[in-house]
Amino acid sequence: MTSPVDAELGGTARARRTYAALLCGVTLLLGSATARAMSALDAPTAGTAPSMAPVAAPTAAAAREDSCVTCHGTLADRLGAPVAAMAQDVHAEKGLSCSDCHGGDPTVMDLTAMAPERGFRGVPERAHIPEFCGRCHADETYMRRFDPKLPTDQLQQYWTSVHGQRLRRGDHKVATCVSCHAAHGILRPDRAQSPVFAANVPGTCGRCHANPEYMAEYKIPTDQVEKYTHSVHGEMLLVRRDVSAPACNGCHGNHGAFPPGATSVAEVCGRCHVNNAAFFGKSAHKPAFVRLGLPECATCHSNHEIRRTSDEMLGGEEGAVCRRCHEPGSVGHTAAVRMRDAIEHLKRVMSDTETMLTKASAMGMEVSDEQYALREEIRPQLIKVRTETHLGDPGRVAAEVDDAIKAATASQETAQRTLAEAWARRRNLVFPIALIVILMLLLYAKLRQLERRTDSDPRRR
Amino acid sequence: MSSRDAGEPGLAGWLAAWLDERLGIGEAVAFLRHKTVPLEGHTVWYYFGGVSLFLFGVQVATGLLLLFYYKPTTDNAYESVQFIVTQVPFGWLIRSLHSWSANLMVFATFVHMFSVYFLKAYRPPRELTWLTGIALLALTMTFGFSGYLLPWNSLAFFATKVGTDIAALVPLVGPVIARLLRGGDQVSGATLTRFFGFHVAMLPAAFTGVLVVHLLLIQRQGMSRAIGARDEPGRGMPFYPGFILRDAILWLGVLGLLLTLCTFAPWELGEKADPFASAPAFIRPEWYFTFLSQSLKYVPGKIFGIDGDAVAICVFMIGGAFLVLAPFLDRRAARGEPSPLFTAIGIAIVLFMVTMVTLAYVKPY
Repeated sequence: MTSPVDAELGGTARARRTYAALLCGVTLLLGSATARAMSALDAPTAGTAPSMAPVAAPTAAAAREDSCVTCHGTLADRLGAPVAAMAQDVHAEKGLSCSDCHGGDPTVMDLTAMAPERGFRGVPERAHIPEFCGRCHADETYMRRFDPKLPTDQLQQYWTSVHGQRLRRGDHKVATCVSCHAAHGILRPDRAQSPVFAANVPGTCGRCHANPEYMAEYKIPTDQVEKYTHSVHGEMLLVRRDVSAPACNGCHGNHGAFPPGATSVAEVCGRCHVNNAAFFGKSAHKPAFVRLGLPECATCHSNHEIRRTSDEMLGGEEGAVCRRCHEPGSVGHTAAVRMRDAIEHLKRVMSDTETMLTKASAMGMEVSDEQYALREEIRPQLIKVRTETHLGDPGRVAAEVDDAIKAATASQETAQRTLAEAWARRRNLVFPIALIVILMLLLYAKLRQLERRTDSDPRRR
Repeated sequence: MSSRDAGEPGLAGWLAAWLDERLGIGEAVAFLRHKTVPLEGHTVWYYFGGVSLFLFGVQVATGLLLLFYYKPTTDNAYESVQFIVTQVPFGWLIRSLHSWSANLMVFATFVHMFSVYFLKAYRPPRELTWLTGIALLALTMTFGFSGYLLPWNSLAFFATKVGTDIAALVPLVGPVIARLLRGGDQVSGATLTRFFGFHVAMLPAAFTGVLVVHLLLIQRQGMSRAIGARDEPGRGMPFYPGFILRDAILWLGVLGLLLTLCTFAPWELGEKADPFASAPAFIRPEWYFTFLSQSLKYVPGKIFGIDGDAVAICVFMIGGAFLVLAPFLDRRAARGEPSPLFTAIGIAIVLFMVTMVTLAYVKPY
């Protein structure tokens, strides 16, 4: 059975070769090629199984006429498609051409260009694809000339993955290099059109892993992509297009894709959620989870369907994850309630402060410094406290909360003072306004008096 | 019996006599008593010139006080204004008075200008009074433009970027003007110090000079009588005490309005400008420039193959030139006849400006 991914890439290698031979023959018979002397051949013989020797260098074939392109470019459907796809292929960008992967002699303008004697390797069997690509990609010396930073351990990692291990055991349904990267038209992973671009990874993995029929024999869930899509990570990556959010490979690895074991989940999550993982590692939960075989972070946060966290997860109320293990009245339950209460207290103080500052600001008072402090200094303290709940130490949480409340209270006092001043200004306005009105009345009286005296009041005329 | 009843002058009388002997105050008062203001249905509009003058006085007084603390550098401008409004006693009031009176001054100046326009008070022999008045309006708006940037807050920064970009659209000399205004290719610290120099030195000097000429011309020619008003000898309000005291009462009223605005809606400071940040949403220049910026949003990119914005700026310049030249173009008014065409054009200009300013606030996009 061909994977859903590979089904898009073409049929069997044999069918391709036969079809290519026929059409190439016709093309060549029409006079499009010049026969070259067979005696000049010195290329090593190779079969469809790849040799591990990398290509020597980007051939100059691209600069000269290339019989692969000349012939296949005239062909329709699958045999011509690679030529079109290579136009945007990263290998073509680097000066590589068909023969660099498939062998043969592109300078020969007849069918003998694809003779085994000319090093023609053809299309690799599915089981040989990793080695086929790894011929170059696992060769540090060769790859260095294109990109010194490019990893060359993909092949090595692949054989450690579930995919690689099953492939070695003869399971040809599993993903190989081309399943994710495509065979031709391979784009750099940072190109948005690439199937391995961060935001496209869930869809690429899901082409197999979300296909119940295809995955039936493996007896693993196929709802991971659906769950991921609704998770906080999925929202960040797929909706907000934040490519720093993890896709499937963020936790499972890419070439060495493997489900993390129960005891290494915290290590996986901890690569990003460093402090949470560090606190969890020092908490009483860590040994307990190991003893019980619980998958660390995933026990409370789930794995693929990780929802945005909320304070309601903590505490002793219904719906709090603590209640799943800690009965009311237990030590763990009491600790959870204390931590939640401390956080709620801090949130109330912050909310009150924010309300006052907003009101003061609406009254035109300058409180931007206090608003900055609330936003950039006190709120991060709340986040820090929330992180420290992973330590499971109510005393530590209470101490941190006290520090934050002190800072918030200082802001609140400033807000109160500012509000009081705003009201005082409004109250005191009555004095200058009264003075102005009195002056206006006096001036008006004086005006009437002068106009009467000089008999110049126009209304008398 | 009081000293006055006894015919003795008293301290105030002595002081008045002392000053009169040296300054000729009595002659000035006698002159003002004989000077009259036309008394007709349009008298109310005559007060807006005085209101503009009063608000300019408030600007000068509060501006001088702000100078004690304001620091015109990108590192200190925002912080110094923040210090003024939060730490300096009554600093919030001084700063708000300065900002609110600036806006009311622009408004009063516009009303004054259009009232003069619709009453055709620009007609001979008052062309120079009109021209100096237009110059004062332009200087007032330039005051506003340069002062808006000085707190170095985010809105002002980006609005100045937009404003100087518009200036760059003026054909031929636009890029030079924009560079002259900015002191470089972008709004920067150089722009701030430059605008500060314009705002506190060059513009006040120019404004005061033009204002003196404007006031002297008014004194020389007296106030214009509306076309068609009956010329009845002896019918008119004496400038003193009738007009001046009424002016003073109105000024006090404006001061009360200013204080109320400053107390209930203190001029906000906003966030400090960050040249590397994205422009905040809903940026717009001060309301008196929005008729210009809002109009540009409706102008197509190309008009007959020419840049649309440049065409629009040319149209505005023609409009400005029309206003400047109105006394010379309006021949009917010069003959003392009604000129409905100029009235219609004026109404169209006012309607256009009011519509654009309203749209800028009601439907900015």
